[in-house]
Amino acid sequence: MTTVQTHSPPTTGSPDHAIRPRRALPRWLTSPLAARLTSYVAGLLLWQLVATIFDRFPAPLEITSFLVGEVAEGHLVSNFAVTLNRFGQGMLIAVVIGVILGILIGSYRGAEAFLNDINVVGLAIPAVIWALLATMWFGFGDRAPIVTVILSAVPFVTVNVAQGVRAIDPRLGHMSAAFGVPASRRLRHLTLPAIAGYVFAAIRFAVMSGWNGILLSEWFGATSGVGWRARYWYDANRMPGFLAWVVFFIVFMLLVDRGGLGAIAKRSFRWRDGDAAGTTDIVTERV
Amino acid sequence: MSTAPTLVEEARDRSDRTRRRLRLAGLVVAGYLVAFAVWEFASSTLFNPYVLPGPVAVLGTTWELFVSGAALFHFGASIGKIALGFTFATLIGAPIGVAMGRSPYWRSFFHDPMMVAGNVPGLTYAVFGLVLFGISDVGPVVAVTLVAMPYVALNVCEGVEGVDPHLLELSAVYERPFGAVVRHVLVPSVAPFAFAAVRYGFAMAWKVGALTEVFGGASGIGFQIKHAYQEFSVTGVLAWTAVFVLAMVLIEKVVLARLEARFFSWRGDV
Repeated sequence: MTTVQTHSPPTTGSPDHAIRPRRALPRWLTSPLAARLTSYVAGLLLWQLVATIFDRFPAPLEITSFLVGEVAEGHLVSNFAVTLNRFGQGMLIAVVIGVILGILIGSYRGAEAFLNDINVVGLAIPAVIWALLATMWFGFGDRAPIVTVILSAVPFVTVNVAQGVRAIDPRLGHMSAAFGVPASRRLRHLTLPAIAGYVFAAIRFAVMSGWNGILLSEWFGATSGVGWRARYWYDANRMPGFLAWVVFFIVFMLLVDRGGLGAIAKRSFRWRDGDAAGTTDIVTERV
Repeated sequence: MSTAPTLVEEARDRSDRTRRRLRLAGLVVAGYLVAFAVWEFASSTLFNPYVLPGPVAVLGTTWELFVSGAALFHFGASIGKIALGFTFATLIGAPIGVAMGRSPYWRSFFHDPMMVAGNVPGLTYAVFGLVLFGISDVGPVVAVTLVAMPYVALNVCEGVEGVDPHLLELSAVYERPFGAVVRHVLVPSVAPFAFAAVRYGFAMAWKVGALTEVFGGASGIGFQIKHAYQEFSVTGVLAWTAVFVLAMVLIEKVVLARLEARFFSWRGDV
């Protein structure tokens, strides 16, 4: 065989092959933190590049100044408050309905046969369809966004809670039955503690899907809220305004996921996973 | 002897199982019936048939869509865009995934961008598609690419991490050419993970594809839903939703599940 193959890529399995800097770059440039920062800088540069190529795509600096302007005029706080109010109401109702349905589907074969297919259909319907339907049903106002949040979040909560209930050791159920533990106590001391982690995981998915839903619903059928405001600038053909709101949506999403719900979900699974686990990303988990 | 009672028991067991299965099937049917009854009640009593048409009207319209061929045509348009988007997503995402799996540097580098790309609200992609590409089929393809890419990258990364280092060492010792290592070691161990990316990314892509079509598509199921919405035809929206859901469930539960079983029958387990 030829000599070319002798310098085939370093496919040796030693774990340190990747850590070793190839061209002797200084350590501070190759650390994970540096990599992360480099990626942000690269992202900003890429954005700037896209903005120069596409005339209609605003540059990062324009958007920052626009966002500052929206904050200064009070539009950000007022619209965000309206949206959060609708979102909170919708999520609360969705979680209650979803937990009840999930427990039913997870505990009883009959309920599963009865409800599972309906839930599958619910999971398959995208939020935009609920947003359009809710707009046609309820017109402009608070009701369409709230209903959209409920309809797009319930199936996610249900499916996760049902999974949690199914994961309960059946022997605990048999033992409770053998010792005649009443259903209410079984729910309180066996089912609810066991599914707590799943409920938080479910809320995390529900928030992602509900947030998407409320933005769409406010876009189509509201005269206030963050989704409406984004549309307002879009209709006015002011792309920096629209994009400034998009940046806000994404930052809010990441903050909720990283700061709050992710940590709670991980914590409530700790009894099962141990401290080391739970580092997977939401993207891989969303089934 | 001892075989006779077991046979009887087996037969009884089997009849028990059939009865149980029949009862579950009955409950499934009952579930559908109750759902349709609630729907019909809501349509005729709570609202009116104009605001919420009943199941008969909606399913009738759905049937007409299938008979006239419109359903199949727009389904083809939607699925074509998704397939194209997934192809691009694989072409971009797989190398990123390999880089992430093989080097901690690239993993930290790509972690946050992939997070963001996978979790951006769909509305953003939809409007960008419309703004950058106008009313055309380019927007949906780009949106599907961006949504599916993180799935592909993260799953390929996981697959690459799971490659048995002993096999790589062995290949190095026996001086196998790089192509052969890729063909016989890397691809077989990454393939299940890549397939998982398609399996779970599909639902996401299907939804974002429809969303982008609602905003700026020129064909496809989402485009038809928007059309019905603009005519304020709730029946139309619901009928196209039924087409959408049927297609999705069929692909997920039948096509992808079959493919998975076939692809990985050699593994035996799981």
